[in-house]
Amino acid sequence: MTTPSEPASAQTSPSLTSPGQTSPAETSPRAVAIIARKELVESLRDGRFRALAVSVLALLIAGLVAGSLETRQARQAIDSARAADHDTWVGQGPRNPHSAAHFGHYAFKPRPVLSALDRGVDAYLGRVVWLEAHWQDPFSLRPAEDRTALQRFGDLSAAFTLQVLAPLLVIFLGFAAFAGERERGTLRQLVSLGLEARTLALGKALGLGAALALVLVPAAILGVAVAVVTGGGAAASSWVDAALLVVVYSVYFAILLGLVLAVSASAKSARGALVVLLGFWMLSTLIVPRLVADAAEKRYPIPTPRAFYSAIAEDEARGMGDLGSRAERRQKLEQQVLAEHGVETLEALPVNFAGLSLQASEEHSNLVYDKHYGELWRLYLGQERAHLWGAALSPMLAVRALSMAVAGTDVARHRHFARAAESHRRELVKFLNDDMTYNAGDAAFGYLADEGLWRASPTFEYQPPGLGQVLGRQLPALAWLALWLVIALAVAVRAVGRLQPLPGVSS
Amino acid sequence: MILTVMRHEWRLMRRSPVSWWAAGLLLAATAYALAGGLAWQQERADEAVAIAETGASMLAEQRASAAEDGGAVSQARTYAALPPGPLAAFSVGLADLLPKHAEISIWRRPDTLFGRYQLESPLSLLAGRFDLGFVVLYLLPLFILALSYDLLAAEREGGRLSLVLTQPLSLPGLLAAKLLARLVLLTAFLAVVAAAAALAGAVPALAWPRLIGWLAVAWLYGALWLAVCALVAAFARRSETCAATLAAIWLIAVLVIPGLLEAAVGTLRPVPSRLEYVTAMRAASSEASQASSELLAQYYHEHPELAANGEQGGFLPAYYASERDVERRLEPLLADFEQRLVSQQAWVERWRFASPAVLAQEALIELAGSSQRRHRQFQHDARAFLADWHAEMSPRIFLGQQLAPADYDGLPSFGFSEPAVSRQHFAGTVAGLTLPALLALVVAYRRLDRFEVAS
Repeated sequence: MTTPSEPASAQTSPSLTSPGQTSPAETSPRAVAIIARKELVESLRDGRFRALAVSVLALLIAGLVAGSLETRQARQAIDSARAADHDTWVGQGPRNPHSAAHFGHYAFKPRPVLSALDRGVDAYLGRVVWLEAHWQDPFSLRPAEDRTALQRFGDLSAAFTLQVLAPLLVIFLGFAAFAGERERGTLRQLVSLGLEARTLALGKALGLGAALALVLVPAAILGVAVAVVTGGGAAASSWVDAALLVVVYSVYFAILLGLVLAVSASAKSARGALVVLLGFWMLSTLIVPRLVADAAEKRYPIPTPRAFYSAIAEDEARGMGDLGSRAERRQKLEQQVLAEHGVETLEALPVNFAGLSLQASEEHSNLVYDKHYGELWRLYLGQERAHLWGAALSPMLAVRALSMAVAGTDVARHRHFARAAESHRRELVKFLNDDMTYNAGDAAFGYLADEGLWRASPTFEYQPPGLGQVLGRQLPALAWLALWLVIALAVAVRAVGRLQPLPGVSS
Repeated sequence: MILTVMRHEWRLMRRSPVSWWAAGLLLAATAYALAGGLAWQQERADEAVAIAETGASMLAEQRASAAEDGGAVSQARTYAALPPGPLAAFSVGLADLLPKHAEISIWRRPDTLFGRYQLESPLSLLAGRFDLGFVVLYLLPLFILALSYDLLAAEREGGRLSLVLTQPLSLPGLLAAKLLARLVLLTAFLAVVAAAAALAGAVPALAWPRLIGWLAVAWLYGALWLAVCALVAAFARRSETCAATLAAIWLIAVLVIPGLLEAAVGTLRPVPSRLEYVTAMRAASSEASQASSELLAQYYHEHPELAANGEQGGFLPAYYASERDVERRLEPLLADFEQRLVSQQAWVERWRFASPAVLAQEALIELAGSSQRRHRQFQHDARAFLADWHAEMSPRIFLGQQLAPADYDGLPSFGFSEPAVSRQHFAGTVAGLTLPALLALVVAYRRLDRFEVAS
């Protein structure tokens, strides 16, 4: 082992620091600045770093531009589809309201502006939902279904590049920071100058951070610009959201830099540092996310479509709670309505009974859907929480959760929209059933409503949740990120405090 | 002599903690992936059986209740289910994403028979599967790189290389022995995978050729990575440079090129907008429903034999006639989607040679039976089944006839025609993995002439 177990044993081992050794000259900001400048210049002169940095920057720019174009196009397609759907609805001609309810509406899930930066789970959730009578349908038209198996390798969105590829840039930038100097013997020279390890570490961190910033700052500026351009002035708040993403990713890179410096300071050789860091990268970006997905699936198993929809059909037929079977429910309703209006027969009612019966059956179905879809959402959100367990081993998972949430492409946002769409469906169907009840008279299903009713029907306006609400749900992810930052700083400080200036020194 | 070197290499590996770690991780990952794959295959098989049984029992119930006055055509419903691929336990591919069952009834159109299936967890789909395909595509190369990144550099740096070459052994011979030692390990690893899978019952009786093909692709893929290690070893002087170069090559081959291809195929072979399809479908439905009485009259006009039997009209025939009109109108759009998806896949198959990872992935999921092509075959078969169903039912709808109990026995039934693996595709994959490997070895060996044995 190269590290002594106690800093107190500094006098017996060639450790760089011990309390009281501080002299003002070596901790001066000037020393830090000189070291930082040297690190920056050295990084920039390294052909391998340049090649890697240019590649990462090129991928980021390509991802941002492609994402922006794609998002703009998708937003326009959604706008025109919405308009066309409205026209079709209004122009459906004379029709029985219940037939119109069967025809229904489509709700089109809006594409958030920042999906240009992070597509999140968007590709794996449907884009549209049919709002029809009797049925709460699942969302359909998942973008991933129209893509080839190449999608399994991951897309090259800005988020993927930042979360998965850019950490390698940090690793290649910093793995030799201390270990390499030690192997070359220059660390020993620095020590002989009376330089404090803390100064050296701070200088290196700043210098490497600056080299990293040369790649990430242009990307961040472009990212914010993309958010503004994609939004087309429609969403002023996307500025704020994009800026928040910049902060989240900056913290992520600070964490990575801290870990890289810590490993470099405590590894025996540069090669060893590289192996450990690449292993960590592999674990945190490739392996842990998949393992956690399996664990989440075991803990919160999603039912098969057959089980899910047959359970719904069963509850429909048998009735929720003690409400009784379909026939019993209908009979109860009949008696209740007759008693309310004080008449003997359905024909004598001042209202149309079919309309009342349809609405009653809707309300029963709503209970069934609330139960089953409520349970499904509980499982999805449980899985989302379970994925955050993996953040204990992979800071990427915390960053991913935050990034998706702020970009509006996470499961919670989908649920928010799905709930809004479902309550609109219920409102619309009730509106049409009420028209049937009060206006159909004896014509019942022969009664035809016209364009006036279609125009008067409730319209669907979706209001996405505010940033405060989004972040409120992400407190665990924020906590993980903060914890990682503290850990990264702590291990970096600790490793630097125990820095060994000589290669191969064993205690 | 070569055997001596190989034995020596294995001894070195046994002494090195890195190789123990790497081997341990790889074997643990393999065992985990195989167990997960087996569970998935079993679940999928059970589910396919359960769906088929549900479909059969629904028809049986209707038949039983139809004993007296015949069953309603509108009530007759069944399911078509896709069984898991022959090697589903090996590669999940796209099988977790695409529809695996279809509802068949007179209410369904070719564009609506796959519905209510999109429940799979979006987060799991995002994370991707930890299956054997993942182990082979991602982890196996990393394992090979960990054991082979300094085939020559470390010994050269340590000054031992010139000593070794004082033995009756050439530099090419030494490299060959080192590569062979690793190739034996790769072969042993895949043999263990095959044996474990076979013992665990993951391989159905008729799937042996597929298993051999799957293992051959995995072996060639691993061997190609070994050849790349040899190439880098022949050029690079320091082991750090070797490691960094190989890591970069891995990154480009496994993450960057597939990502770029994925972006390119979306741009060059775009699939038409599904939202526009929804718009067209809605417009067609609305128009057809407004014109349903004319459509029905027209239908009877075209099929006078169906009008012969008295009563014409009613809700069901009118609705059914309007639905067939919608189907006719959407047919070209649906065919366009089909054709674009096919051309997208064809583009990927042409460009798969750009990265060994894409090449191997395409072949592995094709052999496992979890490719897009197999799912398209299922969609095709299910639509053919639906068409048969409609052909059987439509005369009864227009004639106002019920289904007699005996009629239920004559209803069409579903059979999935498992698509064979294309020999040409497989041969292309083999060539695409072998030729670059041979090329890398040739270049490496020519370069060895100028290799500086001592630094």
